[in-house]
Amino acid sequence: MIYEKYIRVLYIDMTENKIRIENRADLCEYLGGVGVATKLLEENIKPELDPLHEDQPIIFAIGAASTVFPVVTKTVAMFRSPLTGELGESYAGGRMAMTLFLAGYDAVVILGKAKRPSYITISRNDVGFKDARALWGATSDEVGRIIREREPGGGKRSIIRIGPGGENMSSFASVCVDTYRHFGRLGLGAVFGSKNLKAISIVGDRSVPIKNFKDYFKVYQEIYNRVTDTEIMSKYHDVGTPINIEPLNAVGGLPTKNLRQNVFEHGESISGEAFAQKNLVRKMACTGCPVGCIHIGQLRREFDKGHEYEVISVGYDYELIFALGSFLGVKTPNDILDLIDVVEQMGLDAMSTGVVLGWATEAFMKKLITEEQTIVPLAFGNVASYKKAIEYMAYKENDFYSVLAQGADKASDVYGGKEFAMTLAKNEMAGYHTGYAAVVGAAVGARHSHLCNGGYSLDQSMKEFNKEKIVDTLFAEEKERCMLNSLVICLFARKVYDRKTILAALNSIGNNLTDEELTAIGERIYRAKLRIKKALGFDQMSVKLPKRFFETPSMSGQLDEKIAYELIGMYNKKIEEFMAAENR
Amino acid sequence: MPKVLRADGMNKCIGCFTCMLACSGVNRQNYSLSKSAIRVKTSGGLQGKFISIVCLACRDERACAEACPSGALEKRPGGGVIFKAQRCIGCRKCETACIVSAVHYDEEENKPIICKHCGVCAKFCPHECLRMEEVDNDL
Amino acid sequence: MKVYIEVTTWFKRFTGGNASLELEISEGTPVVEAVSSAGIPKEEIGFITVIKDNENKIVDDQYILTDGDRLKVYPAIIGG
Repeated sequence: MIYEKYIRVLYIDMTENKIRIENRADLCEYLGGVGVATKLLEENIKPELDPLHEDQPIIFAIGAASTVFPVVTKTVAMFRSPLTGELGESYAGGRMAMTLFLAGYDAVVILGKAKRPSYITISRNDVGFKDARALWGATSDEVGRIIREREPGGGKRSIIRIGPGGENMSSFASVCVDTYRHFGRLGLGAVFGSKNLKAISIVGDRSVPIKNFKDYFKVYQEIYNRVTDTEIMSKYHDVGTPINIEPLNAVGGLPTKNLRQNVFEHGESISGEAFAQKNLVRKMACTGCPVGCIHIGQLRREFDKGHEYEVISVGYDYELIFALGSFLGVKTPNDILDLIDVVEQMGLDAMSTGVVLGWATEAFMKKLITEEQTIVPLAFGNVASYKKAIEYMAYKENDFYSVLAQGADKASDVYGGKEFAMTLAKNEMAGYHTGYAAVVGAAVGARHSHLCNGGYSLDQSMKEFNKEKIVDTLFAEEKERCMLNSLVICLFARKVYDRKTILAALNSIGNNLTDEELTAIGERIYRAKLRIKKALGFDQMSVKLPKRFFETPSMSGQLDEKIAYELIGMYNKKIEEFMAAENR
Repeated sequence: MPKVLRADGMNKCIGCFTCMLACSGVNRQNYSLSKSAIRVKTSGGLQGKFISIVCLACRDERACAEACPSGALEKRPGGGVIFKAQRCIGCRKCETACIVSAVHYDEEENKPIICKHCGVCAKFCPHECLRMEEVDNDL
Repeated sequence: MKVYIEVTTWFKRFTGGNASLELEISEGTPVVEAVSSAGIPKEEIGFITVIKDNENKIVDDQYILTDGDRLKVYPAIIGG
């Protein structure tokens, strides 16, 4: 809690409809955000129970500087992932961090299971358990609209909710935050579903007096000016992350058609520029972020003969264009927006959805699965079939789609095709076939995301291939991001938030930390994550990499499987030493 | 020449709420949305437009000042009013008198939140939705 | 000697709106210097490719240009 020497935790018991608040001084050494969430997860997780058991916790946390500085906008969620069975960690922007801050909670721990479909309301002086039976089955849009009208706090409110995918506990179901942001990865939506939890509405209407206003505002202005006046952030606002399509496609790093190709022949027609020219209608921002990177594309969709149209507004980003575009051979912005909208309404993670369908398409082509199972014929570029298949996954239409809804790794366990199930430690790959750092980075990353250690970014900046450098840089970046995510900044602004800036910001709000302490916090958090992974039975050395990564050339050329495993081994040794160093 | 706030670029609004955080911070030394004199909200959820509710800097007779029984609102040169807190009795008549609902109310302080047309919100608007305009002194 | 540079849309802000440029350079100029002399800030450069034998090949910053080289410049990859 800002200016206080404790972390204020709201515990919600959905079985008993009871709450409790604890002011935890001991959690301050984890700073906030992912640090506090990791510690709370470690305390509340049940390694012996299934990820979707009602006794498993959902943790949310905001950081030590949430909302009070520009671009410090994210909330972290932690849970046991139903997709990987191990560490679940996901981030979302929107208004959620602001509302938790101004409702007066640093972290929320949700345990138990409601007797019937429910939604929770959280405000500074109340927590409500509400009937959501009539909302069960509603799409993400519908449930948002209904709660918006029923609950107070408009403008100072965040509504997070699941769609049918979460209700039916697809392993990669997402949680939608304020229409356009998501806890996308690793299946938080399924954990909501397992608790009969359809939505949470949070109202933040407190005011917190600012101490040492002059010092604080000086630092605030410096950061604000760097964010808005310099080129450092302008790309995120201008074309946005879809700017990546063009360079990645040019240099052979754009995963295409289930990574059978590294270049998409229709890359130009789905570039950031193409979206901007044809579909972009507005940009939006998370609360407290002057950048505004959220790109909204408009799609005019004909729903009947006789010129009957509906207009839908869909958020798009690089990863979505990769997963539902190049990876599935879908070649126009309209078709991609159409697929994003279905994923959105069903409440699934767009990245996993695309990558899972990539596997299914190839498995169908290779006759590992039949049309009797898939119901519709799957083929790269067949948008009509994909739209149906996404709904079938969310509703677990038949046995096949029930398996598919558990991810590509599980599906390939059952039907074969492991060598082209494009997952890394059971999490579907991100949109970067850039080289060893991307593959190994996700395999060793604590949650197996490209955001654990930014391997794709390292591939781009590394001039000469050097094994030690890859391993050392991934390790250092993982620890650094643990610290950054304890604040919780948006990682798009990580170049603005260098160590000096972070220290100035924290010091100006009375958090007098040193550079060494920031390093120690990052290490403390990483160690806690590694302890959790171990308790959940994760073994780094048993991770198998799909052959396809080594068949299709990457941006850095053909990759050698042996070298990738060697790098994983080197990394594993490094974390073993890291953990042993603590015990000494 | 006096200046007044014009919120006539709201179609460009990205909904970052920096204006509100800056107003509450600079004018009220609080991290808050509730203490801001400018309110940005959506009409119909995030798929709708962003709109702002802020003092329009009325000239001639100001309805809020007219309604004030204790002389706490004085005409501000160029438009709008100046709030004299020590004269305010917290009757909330100004709040209902403003037909654009731009007089917000601070429940903690039991006082209205009156826009000073200081321009802090415009300065921290990253997208040119808000601007200051020089106007004649109407007094 | 002369080289030809093509830039992606993003870079047009640095090149006065031009998508392709002709550049007169002296022998032995590394590619990164040539591109930056065309107005593109070095930190904005992600990849430079040279079209050789009908193929687009990524070249190193320090690649030494030869007369008539055709280059394409791409922005750096961004993300979290």
